[in-house]
Amino acid sequence: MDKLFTLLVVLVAVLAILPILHIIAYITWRGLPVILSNGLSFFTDLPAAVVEEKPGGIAPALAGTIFMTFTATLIAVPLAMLAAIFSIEFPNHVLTRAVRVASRSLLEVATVLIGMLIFVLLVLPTGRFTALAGSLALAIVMIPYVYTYTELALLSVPRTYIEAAYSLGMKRSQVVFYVTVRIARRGLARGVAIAVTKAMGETAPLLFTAFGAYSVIFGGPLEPASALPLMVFQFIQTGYENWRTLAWGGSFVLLVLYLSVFIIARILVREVKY
Amino acid sequence: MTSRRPLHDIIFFYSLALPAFLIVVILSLLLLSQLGMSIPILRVQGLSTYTTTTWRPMYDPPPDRAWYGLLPAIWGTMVSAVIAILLGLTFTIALVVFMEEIAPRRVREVFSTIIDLMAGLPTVLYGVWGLAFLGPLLHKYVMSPLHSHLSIVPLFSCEPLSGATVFTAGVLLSIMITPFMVALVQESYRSIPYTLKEAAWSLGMTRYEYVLLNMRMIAPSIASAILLGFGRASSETAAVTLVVGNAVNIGFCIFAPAYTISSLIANQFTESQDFPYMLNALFAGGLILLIIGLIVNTIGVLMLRRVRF
Repeated sequence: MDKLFTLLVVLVAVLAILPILHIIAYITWRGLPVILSNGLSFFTDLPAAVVEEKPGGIAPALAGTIFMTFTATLIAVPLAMLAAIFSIEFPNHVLTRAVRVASRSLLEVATVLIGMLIFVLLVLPTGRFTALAGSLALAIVMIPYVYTYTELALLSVPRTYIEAAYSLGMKRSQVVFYVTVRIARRGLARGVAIAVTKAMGETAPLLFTAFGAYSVIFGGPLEPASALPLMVFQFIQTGYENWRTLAWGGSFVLLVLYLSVFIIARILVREVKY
Repeated sequence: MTSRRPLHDIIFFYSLALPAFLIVVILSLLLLSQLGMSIPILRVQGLSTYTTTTWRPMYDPPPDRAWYGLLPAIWGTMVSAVIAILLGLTFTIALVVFMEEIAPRRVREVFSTIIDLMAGLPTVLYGVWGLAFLGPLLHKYVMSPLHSHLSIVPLFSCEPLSGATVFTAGVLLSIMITPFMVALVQESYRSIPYTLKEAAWSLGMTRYEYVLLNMRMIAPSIASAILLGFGRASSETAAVTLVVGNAVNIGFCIFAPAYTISSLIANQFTESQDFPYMLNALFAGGLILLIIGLIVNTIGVLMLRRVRF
């Protein structure tokens, strides 16, 4: 009886992690050959027309992902980090309670709703889908992650260092920015890395903001843009064989990007020691 | 008070308070935009927007010829999330017991890394895998056999025409929410005092009885994992849209294509701007999704706090 129970637990546990291993293998199997057979042009070309046999390239998606992830990081990181410092420095302030609830809610809310918010605020009034709208939506996706991890990292800084800094006669802002933040920097970097994996992997917030655009590589911040997950989502559903091929190649690139940032975040966490 | 503080402290305070305030504003705007955009359709159709099953976009506004009933999408969300919870909880408990009680340290570390990897994988990658592999696999080896042998059971009564069904969506979601549920249950499991565990062993319990006892002790955290997992499952968009089949459909059979609220929004948003009130109807869907999410998550977080030793 006990052996049977143990066996069952082991079997179900292994079954639970099989999918992710299979997903990695399967996407590599479908996606890697696409890249190998198209070479460098896979990264630099526009998607081919649907009548052609060749798939073309994922340049618009790649450019959009780089632009939107980068700008979203520029917006979200300072905002969320300063807010997190506020929560640590003024733990009993009513705003701290409010921002914790807000961050927690943003973390759990369906990301498609974030896309709808930017749609109402930016796309409806201006009448156009833009890369910048996509950046803003991704920034809102990133904020709660940066906030939560920054708060955790700052809390883990030993009190003694902070007291020592005050005893040297430093101002409050100096203590925070020269001592606490410096000591916690690896934890902060990890938070940013995790938020970046989220931003570059999101599809739903971009559907009604960046919208997708494939006729130029990058039209500028005020034109519609694509992103890797958005392109994969849109092209895998089409009936065109060469576009679906493109989607598989794009999936593999997205997977490799994700795994790289995942590994960076791992290295950062391993070295957090005081 | 404030006037006595030095100027640099005041600047320090406001340069931090402003970003914090902005984050609160973002959440408020999110709530307000969903509510504001939903009001027109709720004025025309009332609460029957949520209780009717007809989805008929037309150029003439409702209630004359067009009608936007969200019940099928709400139903699809519930069904797929419940399937996800049932399977996900099974995976979760097995993983926690395996990692905490059975696996040697090295194996546990490998599992823990893999679970972290699962948690952050871009959801669209789950989606393409579900579309190309999991859906057809379930269709051939699970749905079709169950239908042909057990079609008397209402759940299996309709013939699965393809892999894109609410059942496939539920299975895919169960894989996606498992890492979150594991994180919650595992943390509570670890917080059980060692003295209690030793006492259980010293009574000569079998492993099964011992695990059952431990799980009872952390029951609130399991309930919390169910609620938070439900929140995750109901709000997932990209992956579900690729595998759920996207058809307005309501019934007890889980082998039929369906819509969830989020996949309805993802699929119909673009064309919704051509029909009066259709965009508002989708926002009404977003509103109910937001409300479900906030309620479920609030209760879930409160439950989590009840595990104390």
